[in-house]
Amino acid sequence: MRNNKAYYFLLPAIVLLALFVIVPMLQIFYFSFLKYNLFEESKFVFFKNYKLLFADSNFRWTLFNSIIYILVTPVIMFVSLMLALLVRQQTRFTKFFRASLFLPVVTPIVIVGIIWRWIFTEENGLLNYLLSLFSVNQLHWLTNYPLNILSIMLVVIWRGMGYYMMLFLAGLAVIPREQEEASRLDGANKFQQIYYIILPMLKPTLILVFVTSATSAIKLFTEIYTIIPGAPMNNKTLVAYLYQQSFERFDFGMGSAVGVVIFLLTFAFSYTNIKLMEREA
Amino acid sequence: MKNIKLAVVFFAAFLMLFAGGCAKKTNVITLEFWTLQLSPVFDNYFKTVIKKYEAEHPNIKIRWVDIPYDAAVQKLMASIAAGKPPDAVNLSADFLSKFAGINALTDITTVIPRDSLYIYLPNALQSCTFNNKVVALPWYLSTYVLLYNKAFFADAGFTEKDIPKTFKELVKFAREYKNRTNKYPLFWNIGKDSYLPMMLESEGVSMTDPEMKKATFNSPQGITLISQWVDLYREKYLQSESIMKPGSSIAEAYQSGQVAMIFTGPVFIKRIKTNAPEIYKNTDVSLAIVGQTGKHELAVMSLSIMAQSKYKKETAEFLKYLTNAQNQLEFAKLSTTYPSVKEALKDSYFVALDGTPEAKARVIGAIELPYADRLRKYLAHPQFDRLRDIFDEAIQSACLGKTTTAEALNQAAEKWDEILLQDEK
Repeated sequence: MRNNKAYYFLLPAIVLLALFVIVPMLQIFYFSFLKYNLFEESKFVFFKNYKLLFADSNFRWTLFNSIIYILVTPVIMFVSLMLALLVRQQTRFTKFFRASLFLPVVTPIVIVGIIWRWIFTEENGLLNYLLSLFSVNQLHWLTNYPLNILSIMLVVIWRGMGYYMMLFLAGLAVIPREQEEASRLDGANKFQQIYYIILPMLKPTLILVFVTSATSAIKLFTEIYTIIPGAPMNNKTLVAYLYQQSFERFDFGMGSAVGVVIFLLTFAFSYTNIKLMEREA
Repeated sequence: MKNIKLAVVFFAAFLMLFAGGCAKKTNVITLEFWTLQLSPVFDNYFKTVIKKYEAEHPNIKIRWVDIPYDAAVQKLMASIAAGKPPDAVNLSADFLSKFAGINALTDITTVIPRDSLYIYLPNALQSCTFNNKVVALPWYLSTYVLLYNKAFFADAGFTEKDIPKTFKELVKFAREYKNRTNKYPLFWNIGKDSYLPMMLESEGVSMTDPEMKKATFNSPQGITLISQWVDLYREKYLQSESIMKPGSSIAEAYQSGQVAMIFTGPVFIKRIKTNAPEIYKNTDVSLAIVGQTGKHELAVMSLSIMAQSKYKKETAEFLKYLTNAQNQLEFAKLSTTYPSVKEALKDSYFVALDGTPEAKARVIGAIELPYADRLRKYLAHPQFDRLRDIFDEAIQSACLGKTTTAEALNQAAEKWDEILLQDEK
């Protein structure tokens, strides 16, 4: 007879998950079919919110931008893996470098936003000043699309690399050093060690980092709101559009419809990637 | 037996005390009153006023809550949705229209006789009127003045008579100043919470028709006027971020010495004095810049009674007290703003010059006050935030050269028409 005791232990977590995640998610699906703004009686409008959504050019642009932000993923993976490999070596300064690289992760996003805004400021910003030393003309880091998307990507990479570096370090810690040693004795260079030994053994961490960084990119919001708050909506992302609909215009029906689109996009992307990577493994 | 008697007496006494306490409690009404970002600077003022009011009205308790300006709409919306809004709330003009649009505010004339509203400046009271309903009492007011850096002007070879007085002169001056100094003359947000609608209305070009059913800012005159500012931006006579930074950034640019002038309310002088004493020393004040109509914007902070309040009459009494001449005058002196009651404006404080820029700004503002008006009338539309975003994005698009000014304005006007005509989506 199977022992079902484990389910009882899981029960509190399942109840909390159902109450605070699954039920609200189902409600969002339901709300997306309503004309719903808290102050009037809600009305069932079928797919009208979705129809209006796809008819709105700002929605289409924010959808496109959110997809573009996924380009951050390979870059952030490469940079954080390289950093992990560097700080993996035990030297006198290892702890210092690890802590320094992790610092942006624990710095409040509002402070990060203000600092980077100063750096990107077009008239007196640090970045344009440094470029002017090399006779490069002033660049519009904040106002010019798509350059402002690149600016945000830069901040996302800078802020996220420490976190993903830590995940890679955890993944690297379980790879037996003997295999690397053996390959070195067999004449493998550093690149070959990484490609033939480290990367295949890091696959679970790679999948995790890929999926989490890509979904974070799709859900990007705070960086946008702190660095380019005044940019037109068509320079922003899906979550910024959701925020505008739900919390500035209080159109919760439309906001929920955007939420459903974000969910479907994130789900489809994550599922496909996990399946592809598992198949390769 | 003796113990039982004693226990009965104690129990009876306890019941009497408890009942007395309850009875006393039910007689006291607690009114919740929200202000917009006035704490901690004005804590003493509010505590004193509330204490006095409570002493005069023993059955009323005021619970004062100050909320951050940026979070005000969300907090108030959440409280309405939860069925627990404050009784009275301080709202700015745009917030007022938002809440008036969803019928969340009480028509003041249902609790205060219309005749008693004559004490307020008519233009201020008009700003609190939506669809013929007075949804708020005007409280403190502000209008515009031009603050400029005398030293920067002198360095550029300008004298007092070169100070621009009209928007047309301002455009000309901006070019001349930048050509002479290679510095920006002013920071003026034209693409985010844009001031251009204010300029247009002051020039006599309305944003919409009188019925608010059709956009009219894309008239030939409107396009010409806006093109002047778009050209200034494109030709780099304005800071590149003036299309994306909100109005709050204008003081920042002046205080840091990046620009030579600022078009704002007299209240900013105090901030400049505190944050940038060197800039303050060189600051002087001139009349508000106006268009052909000679009108400029009147900023009204108002006090509303929420429709869900259980104590509308009591709240109205409290708001009348808060906006009486004496209390308003005291607050105006503390905050460098203007009272909305005519009586308080007669005080010598608003005509006395003492050689400081703040006194000069105060006097100039007081002279202009009766002629100021709610120029951005589209703020009265319940969907004003969508209208504002569409207009802002059109200006941004034109400034960045993605479209011509005429195309951008025509497209924006089409979108405005759709919103203005639709009853529901």
